[in-house]
Amino acid sequence: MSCISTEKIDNRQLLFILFIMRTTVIISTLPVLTAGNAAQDAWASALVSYVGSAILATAIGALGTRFPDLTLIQYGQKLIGRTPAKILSFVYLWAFLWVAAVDLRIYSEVLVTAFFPATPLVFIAGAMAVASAYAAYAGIEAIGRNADFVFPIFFMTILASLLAAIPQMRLTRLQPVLARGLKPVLVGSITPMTITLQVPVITVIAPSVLRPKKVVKTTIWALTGAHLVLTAASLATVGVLGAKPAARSVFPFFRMIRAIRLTEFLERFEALVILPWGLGMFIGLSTSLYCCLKGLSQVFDLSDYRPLVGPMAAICITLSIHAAADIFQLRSFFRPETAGPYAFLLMLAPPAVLWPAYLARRWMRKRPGSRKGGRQR
Amino acid sequence: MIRRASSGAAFLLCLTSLCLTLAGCWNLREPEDMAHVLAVAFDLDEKHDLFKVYAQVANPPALAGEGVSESGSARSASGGKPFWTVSARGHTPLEAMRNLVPLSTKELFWSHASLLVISEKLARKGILPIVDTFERDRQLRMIARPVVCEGDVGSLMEAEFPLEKAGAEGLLHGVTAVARQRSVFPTMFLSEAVATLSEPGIEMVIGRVEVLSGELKTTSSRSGLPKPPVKFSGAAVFRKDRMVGWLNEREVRGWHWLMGRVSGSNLILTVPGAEGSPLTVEVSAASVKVEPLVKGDNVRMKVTVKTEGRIQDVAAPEHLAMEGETIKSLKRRLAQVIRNDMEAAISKAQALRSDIFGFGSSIYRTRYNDWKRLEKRWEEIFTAIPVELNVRADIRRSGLIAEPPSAR
Amino acid sequence: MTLFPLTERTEKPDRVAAALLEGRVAIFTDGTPFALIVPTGLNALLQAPDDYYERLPIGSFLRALRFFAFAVSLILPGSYVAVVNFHHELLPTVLFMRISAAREGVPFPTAFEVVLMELLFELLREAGVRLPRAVGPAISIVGALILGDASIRAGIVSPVVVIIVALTAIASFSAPVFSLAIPARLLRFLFVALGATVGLFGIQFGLLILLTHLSSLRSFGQPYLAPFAPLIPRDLKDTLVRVWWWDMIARPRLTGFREPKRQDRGQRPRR
Repeated sequence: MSCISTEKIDNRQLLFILFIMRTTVIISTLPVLTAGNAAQDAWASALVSYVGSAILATAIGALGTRFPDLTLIQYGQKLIGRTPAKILSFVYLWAFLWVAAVDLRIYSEVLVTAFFPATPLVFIAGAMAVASAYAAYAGIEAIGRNADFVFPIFFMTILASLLAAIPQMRLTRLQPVLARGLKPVLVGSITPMTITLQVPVITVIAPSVLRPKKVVKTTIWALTGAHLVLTAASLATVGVLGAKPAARSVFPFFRMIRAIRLTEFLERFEALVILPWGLGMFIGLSTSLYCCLKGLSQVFDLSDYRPLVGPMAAICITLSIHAAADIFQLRSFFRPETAGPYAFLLMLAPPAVLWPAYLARRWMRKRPGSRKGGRQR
Repeated sequence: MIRRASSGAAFLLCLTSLCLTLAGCWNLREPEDMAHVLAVAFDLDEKHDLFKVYAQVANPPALAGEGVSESGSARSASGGKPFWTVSARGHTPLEAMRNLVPLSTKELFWSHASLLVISEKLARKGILPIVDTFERDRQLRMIARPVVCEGDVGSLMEAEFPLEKAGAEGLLHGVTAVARQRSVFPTMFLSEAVATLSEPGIEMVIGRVEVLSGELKTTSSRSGLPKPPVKFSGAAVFRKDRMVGWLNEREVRGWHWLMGRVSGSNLILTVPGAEGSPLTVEVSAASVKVEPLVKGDNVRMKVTVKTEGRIQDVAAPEHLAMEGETIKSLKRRLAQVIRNDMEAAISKAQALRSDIFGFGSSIYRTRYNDWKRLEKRWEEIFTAIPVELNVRADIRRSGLIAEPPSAR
Repeated sequence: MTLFPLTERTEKPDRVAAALLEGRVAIFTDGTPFALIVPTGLNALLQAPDDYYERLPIGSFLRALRFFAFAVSLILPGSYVAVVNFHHELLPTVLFMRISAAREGVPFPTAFEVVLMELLFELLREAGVRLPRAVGPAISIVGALILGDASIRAGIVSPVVVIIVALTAIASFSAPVFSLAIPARLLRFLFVALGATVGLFGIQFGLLILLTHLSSLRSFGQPYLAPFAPLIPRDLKDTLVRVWWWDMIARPRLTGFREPKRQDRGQRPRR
């Protein structure tokens, strides 16, 4: 199993992974529209949430660039000691698992709602989880290559569906612009920011990346792309459906696609547009699972994470089924006042503990007379 | 490690595919086991206060035509009428739809329904339940074209068209064809209508399909030509989700001008100097600008329409030189005709107290604070709103001849 | 374990020569007319010498067509089953009515019908290969004309399925390397099963597993899907389309790294 440690992916592959992960979730529920009441100003929420997400991503990833060869679990142990670090890293491990489960749930909900009403949810979630677990089993290199392969298909489909929306878009539906002040815009931007909960995967992947020092930069580029897509998607959705019909949808972007008719020949093609979502979900899920497993194996000092893949996939499926009883719970969970504090707590707890420790250590080292410390690598 | 991963792959693939196939096919439907609804109509059963649904179901072997009929002995039997109309009642639109199932030999499938017919009775009672069903259901589509039916819905759904195999196809083609050449019928998707429904300061308009006679069989020509089954013209005006009245052809045209939706229309002017002799001008596009002028509680609308026409026929009694003054006068007349259309539409809408032109919406969009103040009283304000109409109409072309033919 | 060929078997000298020039290895053994070329990958297996003999637009078009044909030969029957059984809304109304009318009276479920016809076709192909060359065409006459036409006339299969099977067969014939067409032939049945279970979602599931399998596959150290995954932008010059001769300055990075330069810059002929 020596090749696990030497597995390397390109920064470009990380960029694709993060972009695909984020875009899939963000577009499937379009939280800027459904979670707040920003209505036709959802695009502004998308931009605001970009700024917030970029700051959060920096807070999460920046410490890792000081320890380019180590994961958060490893450098945490250097900073605050073995046991506390291991306990702390469970926060992120939980976040990975939870993100995977909720993503899985949302995706299965789309399919069950719109295509397979008689098929059990667990079956669809299970199939997706099995595929992703297999990718996680194959390792981060395979995931990176999958992302390379999937990215053009994914991006082209999203782009095509946005272009297809143009003939039916009415820009007047986007007016009045920002008339109700900034408050709804800001509130609407919280939920998309909570989806930054996916970003901590970089703290585990970073050592496997070719240029680990540039990981934060890569992440920010991925966020830029994802939020541009989000902005365009919210413009298109409101432009086609109108602000209120869009906001009352469970999956607004999906409904927008359903409302598009290009010609007699090109209509009702939402089954094709859902496919790249599946690809995106697959990339996101396999990455989350991989990071959770890799982290877990480091916490318990295992030489290989592969034996854990099966059980973890099973946990993930179970969690996704029990994460919410019904679509109403799922929807109300994504309200800013619920999802906000929860996600921010999970996201920021490790950096909030590790940054002071790191700064304190550096300050101690700089002080003349102290010889101890210093980075080993 | 590669080998291990690959054997894992093979194992997983076998396992899951086995699982998938064994687990059964919950949503599998063979196409021939389904009956595909081409058009759906909703009516109101006032006596029992129930929804009544009509579905026009396709009969593929008869619809698909000769291409497949000769092959296979089993198939030749299932020829006959290309569609079948069936109806049922229910407390909700969906219950009514499901009540069709016991009447049908096949499972109904609704995704191909591209036409939604609403009866006048139901439209007057409110169409929100229908909208909800259409938005919520995974098979029904917002790309259906809505129409309001004046007359008996049942006979509309049974109508046969001379040039079409299925009645629904005929209705759908009619709805789209009329939009291209004459602006007397608002053709739109249900999604567009619904977007209007939830926007402030604008009311919904849906096209009218008129059933010309109860006797719809086009083949029964006793004397002379058979009567065409339906006519696509005019529109139903709504306030919120309730229909409040009709617009006639001319008023709908006025609505098209005010909304900038004119995509083809012909207008009759009189020939200058020979009043009473008509002349047709065809218009293929127009643009409109609606500016609200708000001063305190004093609201005025300023509407500027720009359009371009071409002369398509002239019935001048004598030689008419198409130049200078004549053209100028024709332009003035064209502008006046357009203005008359719009005035007719506005006064009708004001009488119906329904802001179908989105005057309120234009205030909402550009002067949000004024709108907050006016919103409550908007219906009142709209009924008396002065509208300044400016029309700039040009006549640029005259067809293949420049001047009308003259007999010596 | 994999179904996909990890070596390239060829009898054509030009193929071997081209591979050697890209820094790959050719293995000759006594007693067989074939040479084995390693390492190989999906891209190399879909390249044919004719792409280089023809003018650029033609060569590129043929290459792209072959990639498309490979995808078709893999998933077309499965997608047909998925769409016809699950996604009735996806097809235009008129087309769907045609398919539905053609299926009227067919005694088998679509999936079974497709599998039946595919098996029949595989049988014909195998028999045609085994027979002496002089008798071979007889098989195709019996197969295509008599069996195909008669089964439609008897109402046992629908004409649309025959079209699908024929399209798939033609697509799979276009693979330049025989050993690449075989996994597609086999996996096709799996995709039909997946498509008959949860429609396009099943097809997607199969594709995802296949993608992951191919991404983790290596042929003598070279990733199987290179230069698509991992993406090597420089090497995309000779994949879905090919660029001008004189723009192929560098050898493929993974095999030709010892001597990266294939030719000098500026070889473009002047007019």
